[in-house]
Amino acid sequence: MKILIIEDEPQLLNIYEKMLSFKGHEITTFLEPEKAIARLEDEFDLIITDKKMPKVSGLEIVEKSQKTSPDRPIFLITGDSTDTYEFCHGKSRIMKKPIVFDDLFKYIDDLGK
Amino acid sequence: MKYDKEFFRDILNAIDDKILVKGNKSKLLWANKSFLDCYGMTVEDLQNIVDSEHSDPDDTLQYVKDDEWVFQNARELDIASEPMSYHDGSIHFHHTIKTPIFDSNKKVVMGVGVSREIKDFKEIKESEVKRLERHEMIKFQKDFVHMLKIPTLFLDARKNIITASTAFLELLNVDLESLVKVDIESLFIDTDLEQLISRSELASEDVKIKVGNVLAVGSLTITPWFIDIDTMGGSLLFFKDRTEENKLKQDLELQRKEAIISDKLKSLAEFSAGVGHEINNPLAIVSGKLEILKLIHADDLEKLGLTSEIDSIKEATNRISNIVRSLKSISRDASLDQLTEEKVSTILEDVLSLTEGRLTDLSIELHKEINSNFSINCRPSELTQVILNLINNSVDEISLSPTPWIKIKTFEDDKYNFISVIDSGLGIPEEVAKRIFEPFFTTKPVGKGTGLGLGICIRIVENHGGYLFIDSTQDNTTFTIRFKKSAT
Repeated sequence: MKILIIEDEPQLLNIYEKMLSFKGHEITTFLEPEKAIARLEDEFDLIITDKKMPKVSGLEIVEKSQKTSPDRPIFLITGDSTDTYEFCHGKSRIMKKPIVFDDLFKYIDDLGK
Repeated sequence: MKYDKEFFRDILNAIDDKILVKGNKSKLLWANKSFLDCYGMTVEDLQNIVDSEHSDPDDTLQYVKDDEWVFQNARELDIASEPMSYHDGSIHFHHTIKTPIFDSNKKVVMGVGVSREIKDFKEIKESEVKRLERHEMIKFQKDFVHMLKIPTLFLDARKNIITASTAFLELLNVDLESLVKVDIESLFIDTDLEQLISRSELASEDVKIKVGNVLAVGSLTITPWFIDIDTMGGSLLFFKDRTEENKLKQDLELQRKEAIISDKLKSLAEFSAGVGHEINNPLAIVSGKLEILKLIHADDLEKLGLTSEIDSIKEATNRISNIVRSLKSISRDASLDQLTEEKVSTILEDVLSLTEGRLTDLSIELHKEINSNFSINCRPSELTQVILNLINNSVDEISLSPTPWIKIKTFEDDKYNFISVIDSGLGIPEEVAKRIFEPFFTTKPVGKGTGLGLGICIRIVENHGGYLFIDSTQDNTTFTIRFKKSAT
């Protein structure tokens, strides 16, 4: 699966990349969300983005991605335990930080079904 | 001619002197017509009374003393002048002779008083004249007070209620006849009337007066009244009703305190959210690196025998993340949150992750008895707050006892789901239990408790359609939250 990951914390980004590559996915990563915007039109199967980031927030990524590819799922990672979002339609999800990778793998598997 | 009872009675009734027969302890037995007319009574009215209510209490006291003297000394007593208050309120002086009547064993069984009115005032002692004047004055004052538009009590020097203004009677929904029988001290709640009266002319705030079920709150102004220049007759108590005002004040105070608490919570929330966010990233890194080790390097770990070590580190990071999550959810105002279905076990986990450390520090044993893992349609963080509050109350109560423990228990019956917080305390005294849910009520030392905790708890539980109560049927202190099962 082609996955775009946006996370401003290098160590976390590294973790996500390692874990998902290990599972055999094709990963593209961005530390700076503003640079990722230009790539939203590319054919990714899934976008995983942090919510709270400098300059461009995860919510803006969600919005922009839904304009270009309304059906593409997005996993929004948030540190705010009480976040619930209307956008969670289809296969998009909110994931609480720190994410549980077993859950993440399961959700990704679900996308292929 | 027949010398029967009627014959003698007719004779006694024909005598203009007043004849009164009393038994032991001044109990009235019989009186002739002349006596009864003065008091507007019938012979039946005399039953079971000690003396006339028309009389000045001082006079009555003297009658009783005189009767006692006659019984004890078994001799006649000649009273040169004695006041009698007739039923029309007028006072008359009499020359009275009290004679003992003996039974066959020479024991005094009755006393007969024969009184003749003294018409010539010169015969009356000077002190008695003064008393007569005083009586007239009190009578005038009594009428005057009764007409006052201010709730007023008119007391004699012994603090007996002489009269009350109509305004007072209306305020407390009582009639004068019942009121004068009441002990004045019992009317005033939490107020040392004795002290107030002794200080006189002093306005006292927040005085509570209760008659039956009617309670009035207000301020009290006390002023003495005088018979003459140096004889105090008693006190006048003027009451300003502030019941409504007071209720309003109390409501405002409650709102103010709640606002302070909610302000504190708000800043705590902002702080916690900030800290939570700061901790979350490094925590996610630690947790993520561990996942990498577990997933990608599982074989190496196995070889080195580190799998269980890594698992315990992972477990510990999970606990930290639970604490951060709970801390964030507890400190925010959730009253506008949507209701969501939440497993009770999840809520309890949240609570316990915040309290387990404190319980361990204080050597309080914690028991979990999850007999039923039901779901509650709730605002989870609010419910967490309630249970946390109950546990904190328990901790404050029992932490110094020899073997403290706290038990969290869930169970259900046909109709309801229950969550109980039970501690090693031996229940709550009834007088505390009665007031425990009142705002501001606290048994904790000053500065320790706001007295608002349980008040807020009960409100939150009620907003959830539940019921919070003290289960006094249990041996140990038990607070239980009950939720009705949904009709499905």
